[in-house]
Amino acid sequence: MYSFVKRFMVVLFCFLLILCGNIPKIVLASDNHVLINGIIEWKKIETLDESAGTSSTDWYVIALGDYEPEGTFSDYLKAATKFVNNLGADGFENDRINDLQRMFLAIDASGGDSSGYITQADIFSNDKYAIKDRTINELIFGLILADKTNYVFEGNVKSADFIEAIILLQLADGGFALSGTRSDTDMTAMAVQALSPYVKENLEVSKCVDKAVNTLSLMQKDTGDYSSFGVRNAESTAQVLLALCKMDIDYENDSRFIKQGNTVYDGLLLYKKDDGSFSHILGGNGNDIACAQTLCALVETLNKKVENTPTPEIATNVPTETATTEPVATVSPTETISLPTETVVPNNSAVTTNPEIENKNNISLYIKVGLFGIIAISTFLFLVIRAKKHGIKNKAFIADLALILVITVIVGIAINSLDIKTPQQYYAETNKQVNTKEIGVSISIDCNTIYNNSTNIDTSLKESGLLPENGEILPRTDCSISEGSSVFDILLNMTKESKIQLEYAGGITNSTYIKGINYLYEFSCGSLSGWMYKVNGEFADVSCSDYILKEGDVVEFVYSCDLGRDIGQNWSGEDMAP
Amino acid sequence: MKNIHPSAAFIYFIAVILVASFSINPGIVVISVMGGLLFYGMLCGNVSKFMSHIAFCAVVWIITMFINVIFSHNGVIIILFVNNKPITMEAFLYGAAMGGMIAAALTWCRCLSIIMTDEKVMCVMGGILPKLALLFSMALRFIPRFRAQIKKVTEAQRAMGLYQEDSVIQKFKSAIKVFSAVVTWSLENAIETGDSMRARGYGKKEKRTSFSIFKFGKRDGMVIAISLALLAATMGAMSKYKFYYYPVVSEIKVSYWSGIMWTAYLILAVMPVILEIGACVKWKFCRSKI
Repeated sequence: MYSFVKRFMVVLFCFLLILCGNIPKIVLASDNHVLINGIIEWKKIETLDESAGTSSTDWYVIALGDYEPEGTFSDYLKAATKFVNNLGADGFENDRINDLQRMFLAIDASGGDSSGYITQADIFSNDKYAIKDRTINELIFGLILADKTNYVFEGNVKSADFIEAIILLQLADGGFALSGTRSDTDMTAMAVQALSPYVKENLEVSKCVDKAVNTLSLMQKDTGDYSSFGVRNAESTAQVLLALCKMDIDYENDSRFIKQGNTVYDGLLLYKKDDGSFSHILGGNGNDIACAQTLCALVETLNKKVENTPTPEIATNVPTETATTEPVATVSPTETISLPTETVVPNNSAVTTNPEIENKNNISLYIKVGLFGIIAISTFLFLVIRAKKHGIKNKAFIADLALILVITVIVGIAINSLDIKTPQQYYAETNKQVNTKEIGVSISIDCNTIYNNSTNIDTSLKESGLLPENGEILPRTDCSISEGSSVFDILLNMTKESKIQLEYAGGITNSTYIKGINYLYEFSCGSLSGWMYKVNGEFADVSCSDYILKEGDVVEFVYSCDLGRDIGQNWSGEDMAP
Repeated sequence: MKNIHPSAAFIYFIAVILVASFSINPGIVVISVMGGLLFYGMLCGNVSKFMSHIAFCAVVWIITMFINVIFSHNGVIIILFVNNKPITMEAFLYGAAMGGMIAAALTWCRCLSIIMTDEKVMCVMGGILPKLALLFSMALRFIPRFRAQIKKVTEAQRAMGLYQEDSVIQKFKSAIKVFSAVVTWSLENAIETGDSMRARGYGKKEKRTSFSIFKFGKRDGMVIAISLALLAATMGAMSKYKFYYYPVVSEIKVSYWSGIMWTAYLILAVMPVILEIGACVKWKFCRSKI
């Protein structure tokens, strides 16, 4: 019995050893804590109490109020209270109402009581400043503040007044904006956050929020993040994530918020810096407000994960209701074009393929675990057979054990290093290099020459109908790529983007040889045929992965049927002369 | 098949193996694998030996399939991307056909080595290419001799208690020791063979006569004629009906030409079995008359 236990432990140990490489991928839930702590660590450099009343500090406290509820912010609370008390009569003027609302939220989050100030500031009364005259920003914050502080409305103002005012301000395209007729991401997302508690009770609100959510879905970039005023930034993305959490929309699986395989969460992570902070724009430095708003969103996602409740009815019912009762609610394509964001196009194909992406998200993990399982079982069987033959204490068995462990670990590491993706995931990937300068180049892929030698083309290729009729595999396309990239990098990127098949031999970084593009291979059209490339009209004399691109370069990949002679390569150049 | 003239058997095998080892048409692959296994089963008559050969073929088949998938990325139906390179359905199918082709060629070569004994090889080629024939038959003979010698040395070592085989590592070490001893033996053996051949007058300039006990009969001529005719039919039809795997697997078409090709090759592949069954029937028939 003892020997059996020992044997079992050995096998278990082997299995664990192999699996431990994958554990970070399996335990995903702790990710958010790590991110949050990263921001907190980064933020520790500053003291909170001195900067009370500034936008970033308030946001930060609002976010952490939910994460570390008890007494962490006594210093801030003191400072903020002092700050508000010192404002005097002028400080409660109407034009600062938004700042005040934010501060009161922060005071509330840090454990203080802001109701006295709220009354003092007349935030929820018509007396000084009529509700219907307020800006969307003030209305949204007011509603959020009322919810957070459980404010008891007195007199002639009700929360319904705020809701009504917000709904009235909704734009034709379904979103909200501070000014103008084009939806702004932040405003739309915040409106959704503010209205989210009332969706269940009020059909009007539910319709309005549906429209806004649809607009948000259309505004999402392929990388998963959002832009505001034409600039992709972390804050807008964080606000949308927050809105989705408030609406109980499963941002990881809802196909409306997955673009090319990227969720809003993925989009937000694009802005993460190595020091734990988040930047305002891609590649920028860590930014206070970006960090604070990201923190809000992360804490909210964490709360959702902890609750782990099944998606409530609203999230599932809402879309169908919209479709049946009000067909106009879905934003029509013509309206979308008028949105400020550049690439907002209703991408039907992306939406239809998304469920597949969700299902196969973990396929890499499944395959790897399957392979590990096979290895573990065979290791186990081998050990059992050997142990039966020699007994567990035999020297020979221990030698076998050592050997098989080494082999298992090597094979395990090899399998673990495999990068397995489904085609959808592969093609959905984008080049996520952020910190480098980009240069603009253009690329084209052409195989026109095969039609002059059509008798030589492989019959299988001719019959497959995969060759373009005019020989243009990729028409001349302008694209940007990070500085220092090679001709091969741009080819790889563009074929991936256009889903063109590409096979190459050799490394990615040097001595690459292009075997075939779009199923047209070397020797596919006679024994002298193959792919060649020109940069700015000249044939280069190095491998395409060794040719570094400059700004404005024009790359042409051309198929030759006669060793380059039919596409203008003159082999009797100067270099060849004796 | 064992009784027909070596030259007829030789031509028959050339015809079968030529097609089996060069065609990746799925029909031809299936026919040649099945025919080869049928013939091999008939020849070896030993179930465990036959099963181990099938297992060997299966391993070869699977390995070929996966190796092709690793190195070939052509094809339209992409299953997965591994390390950013596509794994395609077409590569799998091509690998499967290729593996089948290799398994078939292996099986037919086994049959060839059973049928074509040294004596028969010398008979076929001794007159035309005596040196090549000798080399060929000696080389073929060398493999079983080498194996026998390994067995002998291993047993001797084991008897002396020097051959440790408890753990895998020990086994490996011992095997290496034996192998090195046997390689030394084989080199020495080659020199000895050369010396003894020279001592018997091999290598003289005059043309040497050759002798064989085989007689060329009417049946042998028939076998040659039928083999060549079927080979020609198969090859001819194959040039009309081409099958492709890349970039799109072509459809298996049942047409005039594919029909001719498959039927001709099927007859060619099962010819030994037909001959054998014919002999049995004839034997029974003759006996009943007596």
